[in-house]
Amino acid sequence: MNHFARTWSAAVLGVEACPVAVEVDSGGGKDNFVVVGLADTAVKESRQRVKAAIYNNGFAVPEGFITASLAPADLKKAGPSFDLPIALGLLASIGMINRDRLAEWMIIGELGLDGEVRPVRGTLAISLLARQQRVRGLMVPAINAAEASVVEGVRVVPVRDLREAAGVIDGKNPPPTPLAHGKNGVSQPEAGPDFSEVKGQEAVKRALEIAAAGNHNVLMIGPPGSGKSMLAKRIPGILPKMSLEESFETTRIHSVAGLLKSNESLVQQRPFRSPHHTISDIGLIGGSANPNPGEVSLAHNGVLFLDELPEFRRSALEVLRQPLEDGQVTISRAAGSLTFPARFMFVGAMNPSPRGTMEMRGPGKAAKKYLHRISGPLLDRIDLHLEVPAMKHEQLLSAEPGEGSAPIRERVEKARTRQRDRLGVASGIFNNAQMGSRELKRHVPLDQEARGLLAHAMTDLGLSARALDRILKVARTIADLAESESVHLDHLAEAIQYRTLDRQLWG
Amino acid sequence: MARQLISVPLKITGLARCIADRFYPWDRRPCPAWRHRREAGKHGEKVAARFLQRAGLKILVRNYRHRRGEIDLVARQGRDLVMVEVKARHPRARWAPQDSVGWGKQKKIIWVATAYLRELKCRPPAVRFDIVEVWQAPGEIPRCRWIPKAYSLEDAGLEWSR
Repeated sequence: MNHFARTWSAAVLGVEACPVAVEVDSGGGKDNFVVVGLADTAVKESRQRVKAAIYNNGFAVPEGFITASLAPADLKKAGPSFDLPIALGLLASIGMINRDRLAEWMIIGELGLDGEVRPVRGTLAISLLARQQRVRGLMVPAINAAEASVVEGVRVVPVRDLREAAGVIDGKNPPPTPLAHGKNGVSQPEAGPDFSEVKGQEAVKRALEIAAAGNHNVLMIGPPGSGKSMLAKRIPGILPKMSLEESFETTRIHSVAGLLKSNESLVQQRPFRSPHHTISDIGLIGGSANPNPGEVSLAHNGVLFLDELPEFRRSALEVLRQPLEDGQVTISRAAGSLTFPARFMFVGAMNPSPRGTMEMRGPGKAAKKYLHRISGPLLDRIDLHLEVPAMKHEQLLSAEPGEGSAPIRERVEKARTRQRDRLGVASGIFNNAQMGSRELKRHVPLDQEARGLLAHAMTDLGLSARALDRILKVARTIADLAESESVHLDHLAEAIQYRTLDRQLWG
Repeated sequence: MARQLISVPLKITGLARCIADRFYPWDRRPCPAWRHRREAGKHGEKVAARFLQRAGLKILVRNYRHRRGEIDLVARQGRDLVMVEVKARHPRARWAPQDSVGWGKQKKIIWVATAYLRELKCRPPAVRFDIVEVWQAPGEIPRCRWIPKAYSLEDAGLEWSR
């Protein structure tokens, strides 16, 4: 006389979701409730929540031995999102709701003791899975509904409490207001800080414009109070608008990390992450026992700003190398390896010496020690090195505002469009910074004069092969901004000039 | 002489007793008053035994003791040997009686059950562990609830060792 019911849920692994069958068997033996299937503590504790929620919603908990099994049994499950499927499975196992209909649904949600359905992480990934699995419907917490309904072709049903969820399965309740796909709660990009608020620093602004146009990495070096952080905070404002795919990817990562605001469907604004310099390498790159995305992944399609770069731990900086090069992070743990996307624009800021000021006669002993906390390979991966000089009082007190973010952004978008057209959609490359050596050869042809200039630069500055590639990419971006088809000598010269500062300082 | 004849009680044959135990609801009679908790427990066991008899179980031993453990009732149902733990509670008690048959109690009963089987000196039959919950109060008719296969050796993580 055992009773059995099955339904579907999902476990989130990295940014992917995989289906989990939730099977509930009740009856026979002494009262007991076990959850099996490699569940972590949060899942095991769900039995207390489920019992209380069922009682407090006026249902009865079936007597006897209750077994809830999460299959596949060799996959580690974490988090409280299995509460709702277990509770509904339990009700279905004793026939309080329709067993066959329940088996066609995919259900996620955490339960409160009063039966309220709480939001869970990774709804977007689960919604994509639901489309793949062709379930009858996806039941999500009402707060996550906007996020889940971004995916087309899935019937998303938001529920607020257990009673409502049971009603939806039985088809008693009128289905809650249907959600239009992709349109719900899209937050308009708010107007962030504007470039016109920064006075002076025209050269740096120009360089940041180039960086934004080609998605190049930037390192700003200057004394305290020269406006490095201020400038960095304004970079997302001049980056082009996110395309739908980009905002999809970013939303997925933020959803897994639980950073989405309630009722927010897609992240429209490019993320700007500025972790404190005490961050651990795991916090930066992602990981821990059940891998979570780190700051590099949270900054995907946006800006990762590291203020006071030399203060960061050496190991934390070194782990940045791989994502800077590949645009993704692969985390391997005993449980398996996961890949998180991490294509971000790296912006660093630092003082030229521990005292903060640029030293007249080149870096002294202490300054050298300070500078050498940043390794050569990391510096090599940064395209533009900028000096941010201290401001003069005439500039600071002058009333006239600088150029605003809007016109800069327009130019940047135009340059990006040129890049995309040139590189083609099929290549999977959207900006100059992502170009490989093959694309470089094709899109940055060099004439005799340019070769001569580069040869000089390489010998004089002692540039590496990677630095050379980076210079060519920056030159290409400068040419794009100037709306020129080919890369001219002055574009190249400007690009080389952005690589000279590191030679002077680190020499 | 005549007086003596009258006072001779009706002779109850074994068969009559057996039929009465099987069908007469002995367990559905109001409980007597008791002074002590221990008496309540004793009475609960009596009620449970009658209840099981009426359900068709043959009671083999009551209060089988072995060293430090006790099995309240050892019964037989068909081919199964049934080890019954009786738990009596006041009807308005807060927790279910079965909740107090924890893991330690289960282990102890299983341990005594192995001792009983050893004493039987035969091939061990299929053994089952049941719980009978009794809700009783003085002057009220007790209620019983029978939980067959309440726990098993596998749940306790043990195996028959012989």
